[in-house]
Amino acid sequence: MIGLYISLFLSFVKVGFLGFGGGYAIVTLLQQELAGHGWLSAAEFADLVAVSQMTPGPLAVNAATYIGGRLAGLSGAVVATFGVSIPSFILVILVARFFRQFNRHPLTGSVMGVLRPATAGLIASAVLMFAELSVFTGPIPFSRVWDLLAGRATGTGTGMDTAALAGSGFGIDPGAMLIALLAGIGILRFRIHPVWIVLLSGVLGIFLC
Amino acid sequence: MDIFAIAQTLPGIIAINTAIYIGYRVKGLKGSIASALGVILPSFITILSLVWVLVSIKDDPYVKKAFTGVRAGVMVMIGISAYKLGKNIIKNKLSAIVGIFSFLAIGVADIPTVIVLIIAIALGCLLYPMQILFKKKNKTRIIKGDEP
Repeated sequence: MIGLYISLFLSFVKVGFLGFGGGYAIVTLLQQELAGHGWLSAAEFADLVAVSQMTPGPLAVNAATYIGGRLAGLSGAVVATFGVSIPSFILVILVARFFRQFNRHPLTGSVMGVLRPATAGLIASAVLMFAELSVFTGPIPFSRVWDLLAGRATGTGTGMDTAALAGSGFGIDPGAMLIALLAGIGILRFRIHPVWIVLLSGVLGIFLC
Repeated sequence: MDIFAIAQTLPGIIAINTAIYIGYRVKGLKGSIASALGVILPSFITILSLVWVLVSIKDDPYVKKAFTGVRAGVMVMIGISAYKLGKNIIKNKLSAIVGIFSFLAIGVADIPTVIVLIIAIALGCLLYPMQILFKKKNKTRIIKGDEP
Protein backbone atom coordinates (compact mmCIF):
# COMPACT_ATOMS: atom_id res chain seq x y z
CA MET A 1 0.00 0.00 0.00
CA ILE A 2 2.78 2.40 0.84
CA GLY A 3 4.17 1.56 -2.58
CA LEU A 4 1.10 3.08 -4.15
CA TYR A 5 1.58 6.31 -2.26
CA ILE A 6 5.19 6.46 -3.30
CA SER A 7 4.41 5.89 -6.97
CA LEU A 8 1.60 8.39 -6.84
CA PHE A 9 3.87 10.94 -5.27
CA LEU A 10 6.74 10.35 -7.68
CA SER A 11 4.53 10.36 -10.75
CA PHE A 12 3.03 13.66 -9.82
CA VAL A 13 6.33 15.20 -8.91
CA LYS A 14 7.43 14.21 -12.40
CA VAL A 15 4.37 15.87 -13.88
CA GLY A 16 4.97 18.93 -11.73
CA PHE A 17 8.52 19.27 -12.99
CA LEU A 18 7.73 18.79 -16.63
CA GLY A 19 4.63 20.87 -16.98
CA PHE A 20 6.10 23.54 -19.19
CA GLY A 21 3.66 25.99 -20.60
CA GLY A 22 0.87 25.08 -18.26
CA GLY A 23 -2.67 24.22 -19.21
CA TYR A 24 -3.03 21.47 -21.76
CA ALA A 25 0.70 20.85 -22.04
CA ILE A 26 0.56 18.16 -19.39
CA VAL A 27 -2.27 16.21 -20.99
CA THR A 28 -0.14 13.79 -22.98
CA LEU A 29 2.46 13.55 -20.23
CA LEU A 30 -0.11 12.67 -17.65
CA GLN A 31 -1.93 10.29 -19.95
CA GLN A 32 1.27 8.34 -20.56
CA GLU A 33 1.99 8.22 -16.83
CA LEU A 34 -1.47 6.90 -16.12
CA ALA A 35 -1.35 4.35 -18.92
CA GLY A 36 2.07 3.22 -17.71
CA HIS A 37 0.74 2.51 -14.24
CA GLY A 38 -2.67 1.40 -15.37
CA TRP A 39 -4.34 3.82 -13.01
CA LEU A 40 -6.99 5.32 -15.22
CA SER A 41 -8.41 4.49 -18.60
CA ALA A 42 -7.84 6.93 -21.45
CA ALA A 43 -11.55 7.67 -21.54
CA GLU A 44 -11.78 8.41 -17.84
CA PHE A 45 -8.74 10.65 -18.07
CA ALA A 46 -10.20 12.52 -21.02
CA ASP A 47 -13.39 13.04 -19.03
CA LEU A 48 -11.33 14.36 -16.14
CA VAL A 49 -9.72 16.91 -18.40
CA ALA A 50 -13.15 17.94 -19.54
CA VAL A 51 -14.54 18.28 -16.02
CA SER A 52 -11.45 20.24 -15.11
CA GLN A 53 -12.55 22.90 -17.58
CA MET A 54 -15.50 23.58 -15.38
CA THR A 55 -13.85 23.47 -11.99
CA PRO A 56 -11.53 26.01 -10.43
CA GLY A 57 -7.85 25.41 -10.38
CA PRO A 58 -5.20 24.23 -12.77
CA LEU A 59 -5.65 20.96 -14.62
CA ALA A 60 -2.62 19.40 -12.99
CA VAL A 61 -3.98 19.97 -9.50
CA ASN A 62 -7.42 18.72 -10.46
CA ALA A 63 -5.87 15.63 -11.97
CA ALA A 64 -3.69 14.98 -8.95
CA THR A 65 -6.61 15.31 -6.57
CA TYR A 66 -8.90 13.14 -8.66
CA ILE A 67 -6.43 10.37 -9.38
CA GLY A 68 -5.02 10.33 -5.88
CA GLY A 69 -8.52 10.31 -4.51
CA ARG A 70 -9.62 7.54 -6.84
CA LEU A 71 -6.73 5.33 -5.96
CA ALA A 72 -6.32 5.95 -2.26
CA GLY A 73 -9.02 8.21 -0.90
CA LEU A 74 -8.29 11.45 0.87
CA SER A 75 -4.74 10.56 1.75
CA GLY A 76 -4.04 9.65 -1.86
CA ALA A 77 -5.41 12.96 -3.02
CA VAL A 78 -3.23 14.81 -0.51
CA VAL A 79 -0.11 12.90 -1.49
CA ALA A 80 -0.64 13.41 -5.21
CA THR A 81 -1.53 17.08 -4.91
CA PHE A 82 1.41 17.67 -2.63
CA GLY A 83 3.63 15.90 -5.16
CA VAL A 84 2.51 18.03 -8.05
CA SER A 85 3.08 21.27 -6.12
CA ILE A 86 6.53 20.51 -4.70
CA PRO A 87 8.45 21.17 -7.95
CA SER A 88 6.90 24.62 -8.13
CA PHE A 89 8.13 25.39 -4.64
CA ILE A 90 11.60 24.15 -5.30
CA LEU A 91 12.02 25.89 -8.63
CA VAL A 92 10.41 29.19 -7.79
CA ILE A 93 12.18 29.62 -4.49
CA LEU A 94 15.50 28.66 -6.04
CA VAL A 95 15.02 31.25 -8.73
CA ALA A 96 13.75 33.88 -6.33
CA ARG A 97 16.72 33.42 -4.01
CA PHE A 98 19.59 32.72 -6.33
CA PHE A 99 18.78 33.12 -9.92
CA ARG A 100 16.89 36.36 -10.28
CA GLN A 101 18.48 36.94 -13.62
CA PHE A 102 17.48 33.48 -14.77
CA ASN A 103 14.87 34.89 -17.03
CA ARG A 104 17.23 37.15 -18.89
CA HIS A 105 20.00 34.65 -19.30
CA PRO A 106 20.51 33.82 -22.97
CA LEU A 107 20.71 30.09 -22.25
CA THR A 108 17.19 30.26 -20.90
CA GLY A 109 16.23 32.11 -24.04
CA SER A 110 17.56 29.48 -26.37
CA VAL A 111 16.11 26.60 -24.38
CA MET A 112 12.75 28.34 -24.33
CA GLY A 113 13.11 28.97 -28.02
CA VAL A 114 13.02 25.23 -28.57
CA LEU A 115 10.68 24.30 -25.73
CA ARG A 116 7.90 26.65 -26.72
CA PRO A 117 7.32 25.28 -30.21
CA ALA A 118 7.75 21.77 -28.77
CA THR A 119 4.98 22.58 -26.32
CA ALA A 120 2.77 23.72 -29.16
CA GLY A 121 3.35 20.41 -30.92
CA LEU A 122 2.73 18.61 -27.66
CA ILE A 123 -0.61 20.31 -27.15
CA ALA A 124 -1.54 19.56 -30.73
CA SER A 125 -0.89 15.89 -30.10
CA ALA A 126 -3.44 15.99 -27.31
CA VAL A 127 -5.97 16.76 -30.04
CA LEU A 128 -5.26 13.36 -31.55
CA MET A 129 -5.74 11.70 -28.20
CA PHE A 130 -9.15 13.28 -27.80
CA ALA A 131 -10.04 12.60 -31.39
CA GLU A 132 -9.45 8.90 -30.87
CA LEU A 133 -11.92 9.00 -28.00
CA SER A 134 -14.67 10.95 -29.65
CA VAL A 135 -14.93 11.59 -33.38
CA PHE A 136 -13.02 8.44 -34.22
CA THR A 137 -14.12 5.20 -32.68
CA GLY A 138 -10.67 3.93 -31.87
CA PRO A 139 -6.97 4.61 -32.17
CA ILE A 140 -5.96 6.06 -35.50
CA PRO A 141 -4.18 3.29 -37.38
CA PHE A 142 -1.26 5.33 -38.58
CA SER A 143 0.67 2.40 -39.93
CA ARG A 144 -2.23 1.41 -42.12
CA VAL A 145 -2.74 4.96 -43.29
CA TRP A 146 0.92 5.00 -44.22
CA ASP A 147 0.63 1.72 -46.12
CA LEU A 148 -2.46 2.99 -47.82
CA LEU A 149 -0.75 6.13 -48.98
CA ALA A 150 2.42 4.32 -49.93
CA GLY A 151 0.50 1.68 -51.85
CA ARG A 152 -1.41 4.24 -53.82
CA ALA A 153 1.63 6.36 -54.43
CA THR A 154 3.65 3.54 -55.93
CA GLY A 155 0.69 2.59 -58.01
CA THR A 156 0.57 -0.95 -56.70
CA GLY A 157 -2.57 -0.58 -54.62
CA THR A 158 -2.46 -4.28 -53.87
CA GLY A 159 -5.29 -5.10 -51.54
CA MET A 160 -4.61 -2.16 -49.23
CA ASP A 161 -7.83 -0.29 -49.56
CA THR A 162 -10.13 1.57 -47.26
CA ALA A 163 -11.80 -1.65 -46.19
CA ALA A 164 -8.57 -2.60 -44.48
CA LEU A 165 -8.78 0.58 -42.45
CA ALA A 166 -12.28 -0.30 -41.38
CA GLY A 167 -11.19 -3.76 -40.34
CA SER A 168 -9.02 -2.32 -37.61
CA GLY A 169 -12.03 -1.15 -35.58
CA PHE A 170 -11.48 2.38 -36.72
CA GLY A 171 -14.42 4.44 -37.81
CA ILE A 172 -16.03 7.80 -37.50
CA ASP A 173 -18.70 8.87 -35.10
CA PRO A 174 -20.79 11.33 -37.08
CA GLY A 175 -22.55 12.70 -34.03
CA ALA A 176 -19.27 13.55 -32.38
CA MET A 177 -18.04 15.09 -35.63
CA LEU A 178 -21.07 17.32 -35.68
CA ILE A 179 -20.52 18.34 -32.08
CA ALA A 180 -16.91 19.12 -32.86
CA LEU A 181 -17.98 21.27 -35.76
CA LEU A 182 -20.52 23.11 -33.66
CA ALA A 183 -18.01 23.57 -30.87
CA GLY A 184 -15.58 25.06 -33.34
CA ILE A 185 -18.15 27.51 -34.60
CA GLY A 186 -19.21 28.30 -31.07
CA ILE A 187 -15.71 29.15 -29.95
CA LEU A 188 -14.41 30.90 -33.02
CA ARG A 189 -17.46 32.77 -34.18
CA PHE A 190 -19.46 33.26 -31.01
CA ARG A 191 -16.72 33.25 -28.39
CA ILE A 192 -18.67 30.89 -26.18
CA HIS A 193 -17.00 30.26 -22.85
CA PRO A 194 -15.34 26.85 -22.31
CA VAL A 195 -17.72 25.96 -19.52
CA TRP A 196 -20.70 26.27 -21.85
CA ILE A 197 -18.92 24.43 -24.61
CA VAL A 198 -18.37 21.50 -22.29
CA LEU A 199 -21.95 21.52 -21.02
CA LEU A 200 -23.55 21.89 -24.41
CA SER A 201 -21.29 19.26 -25.96
CA GLY A 202 -22.38 16.92 -23.22
CA VAL A 203 -26.06 17.57 -23.74
CA LEU A 204 -25.72 17.16 -27.49
CA GLY A 205 -23.71 14.04 -26.90
CA ILE A 206 -26.64 12.36 -25.24
CA PHE A 207 -28.71 12.80 -28.38
CA LEU A 208 -26.15 12.56 -31.11
CA CYS A 209 -23.52 10.03 -30.04
CA MET B 1 5.97 41.89 -14.68
CA ASP B 2 9.01 39.76 -14.30
CA ILE B 3 6.81 37.52 -12.22
CA PHE B 4 4.68 36.25 -15.06
CA ALA B 5 7.62 35.79 -17.34
CA ILE B 6 9.40 33.72 -14.76
CA ALA B 7 6.32 31.73 -13.86
CA GLN B 8 5.79 30.92 -17.50
CA THR B 9 9.34 30.01 -18.25
CA LEU B 10 9.82 27.76 -15.28
CA PRO B 11 8.41 24.30 -15.47
CA GLY B 12 5.62 23.52 -13.09
CA ILE B 13 2.12 24.80 -12.97
CA ILE B 14 1.94 28.45 -13.88
CA ALA B 15 -0.76 29.33 -11.39
CA ILE B 16 1.10 27.74 -8.53
CA ASN B 17 4.42 29.20 -9.61
CA THR B 18 2.96 32.66 -9.65
CA ALA B 19 1.31 32.23 -6.29
CA ILE B 20 4.46 30.88 -4.70
CA TYR B 21 6.60 33.61 -6.16
CA ILE B 22 4.36 36.40 -5.00
CA GLY B 23 3.87 34.81 -1.62
CA TYR B 24 7.57 34.36 -1.21
CA ARG B 25 8.34 37.95 -2.08
CA VAL B 26 5.72 39.21 0.33
CA LYS B 27 6.23 36.95 3.30
CA GLY B 28 8.97 34.42 2.64
CA LEU B 29 8.36 30.73 2.87
CA LYS B 30 5.23 31.04 4.96
CA GLY B 31 3.81 33.45 2.43
CA SER B 32 4.52 31.11 -0.42
CA ILE B 33 2.82 28.24 1.36
CA ALA B 34 -0.20 30.38 2.12
CA SER B 35 -0.64 31.53 -1.43
CA ALA B 36 -0.04 28.09 -2.85
CA LEU B 37 -2.76 26.76 -0.58
CA GLY B 38 -4.98 29.55 -1.81
CA VAL B 39 -4.62 28.30 -5.33
CA ILE B 40 -4.78 24.64 -4.54
CA LEU B 41 -7.49 24.32 -1.91
CA PRO B 42 -10.56 25.40 -3.92
CA SER B 43 -9.58 22.98 -6.63
CA PHE B 44 -8.78 20.25 -4.15
CA ILE B 45 -12.04 20.52 -2.29
CA THR B 46 -14.16 20.76 -5.44
CA ILE B 47 -12.64 17.76 -7.12
CA LEU B 48 -12.55 15.67 -3.99
CA SER B 49 -16.27 16.15 -3.61
CA LEU B 50 -16.79 15.21 -7.24
CA VAL B 51 -14.75 12.00 -7.21
CA TRP B 52 -17.54 9.96 -5.74
CA VAL B 53 -20.10 11.46 -8.12
CA LEU B 54 -17.99 10.91 -11.20
CA VAL B 55 -17.11 7.37 -10.30
CA SER B 56 -20.69 6.41 -9.71
CA ILE B 57 -22.07 7.88 -12.91
CA LYS B 58 -19.33 7.05 -15.34
CA ASP B 59 -20.72 3.72 -16.45
CA ASP B 60 -24.19 4.94 -17.19
CA PRO B 61 -24.83 4.65 -20.96
CA TYR B 62 -26.27 8.15 -21.24
CA VAL B 63 -23.36 9.57 -19.35
CA LYS B 64 -21.03 7.77 -21.73
CA LYS B 65 -22.77 9.37 -24.68
CA ALA B 66 -22.64 12.75 -23.03
CA PHE B 67 -18.95 12.37 -22.36
CA THR B 68 -18.25 11.34 -25.91
CA GLY B 69 -19.80 14.60 -26.98
CA VAL B 70 -17.83 16.45 -24.33
CA ARG B 71 -14.60 14.95 -25.57
CA ALA B 72 -15.37 16.14 -29.07
CA GLY B 73 -15.88 19.63 -27.71
CA VAL B 74 -12.70 19.53 -25.62
CA MET B 75 -10.79 18.24 -28.64
CA VAL B 76 -11.79 21.36 -30.51
CA MET B 77 -10.87 23.57 -27.56
CA ILE B 78 -7.42 22.04 -27.35
CA GLY B 79 -7.02 22.28 -31.09
CA ILE B 80 -7.82 25.96 -31.13
CA SER B 81 -5.51 26.53 -28.20
CA ALA B 82 -2.70 24.69 -29.99
CA TYR B 83 -3.35 26.67 -33.14
CA LYS B 84 -3.25 30.02 -31.37
CA LEU B 85 -0.13 29.02 -29.52
CA GLY B 86 1.46 27.87 -32.75
CA LYS B 87 0.66 31.14 -34.46
CA ASN B 88 2.30 33.09 -31.66
CA ILE B 89 5.31 30.91 -31.24
CA ILE B 90 6.26 29.50 -34.58
CA LYS B 91 8.08 32.27 -36.32
CA ASN B 92 10.81 30.57 -38.26
CA LYS B 93 11.73 27.29 -39.86
CA LEU B 94 13.44 25.88 -36.81
CA SER B 95 10.45 26.38 -34.57
CA ALA B 96 8.14 24.98 -37.22
CA ILE B 97 10.30 21.88 -37.50
CA VAL B 98 10.46 21.47 -33.72
CA GLY B 99 6.71 21.89 -33.45
CA ILE B 100 5.88 19.42 -36.18
CA PHE B 101 8.44 16.96 -34.95
CA SER B 102 7.15 16.95 -31.39
CA PHE B 103 3.59 16.61 -32.64
CA LEU B 104 4.50 13.58 -34.75
CA ALA B 105 6.75 12.07 -32.12
CA ILE B 106 4.17 12.18 -29.37
CA GLY B 107 0.95 11.95 -31.32
CA VAL B 108 1.88 9.44 -33.97
CA ALA B 109 4.98 7.61 -32.84
CA ASP B 110 3.90 7.45 -29.19
CA ILE B 111 7.30 8.51 -27.96
CA PRO B 112 7.08 9.39 -24.28
CA THR B 113 6.59 13.09 -23.73
CA VAL B 114 9.44 13.17 -21.22
CA ILE B 115 11.88 12.11 -23.89
CA VAL B 116 10.69 14.69 -26.37
CA LEU B 117 10.98 17.41 -23.73
CA ILE B 118 14.47 16.31 -22.78
CA ILE B 119 15.52 16.35 -26.42
CA ALA B 120 14.06 19.83 -26.79
CA ILE B 121 15.93 21.10 -23.76
CA ALA B 122 19.15 19.48 -24.96
CA LEU B 123 18.68 21.06 -28.37
CA GLY B 124 18.12 24.41 -26.73
CA CYS B 125 21.30 24.04 -24.73
CA LEU B 126 23.21 23.11 -27.87
CA LEU B 127 21.89 26.11 -29.69
CA TYR B 128 23.10 28.47 -27.02
CA PRO B 129 26.76 28.56 -28.10
CA MET B 130 25.62 28.76 -31.70
CA GLN B 131 23.52 31.76 -30.82
CA ILE B 132 26.58 33.57 -29.58
CA LEU B 133 28.43 32.86 -32.79
CA PHE B 134 25.47 33.96 -34.83
CA LYS B 135 25.18 37.19 -32.90
CA LYS B 136 28.79 38.01 -33.62
CA LYS B 137 28.13 37.51 -37.29
CA ASN B 138 25.17 39.83 -37.01
CA LYS B 139 27.20 42.55 -35.39
CA THR B 140 29.67 42.70 -38.22
CA ARG B 141 26.82 42.79 -40.65
CA ILE B 142 25.31 45.76 -38.93
CA ILE B 143 28.53 47.63 -39.16
CA LYS B 144 28.96 46.75 -42.77
CA GLY B 145 25.39 47.55 -43.53
CA ASP B 146 25.79 51.26 -43.00
CA GLU B 147 25.81 51.91 -46.68
CA PRO B 148 23.30 53.88 -48.71
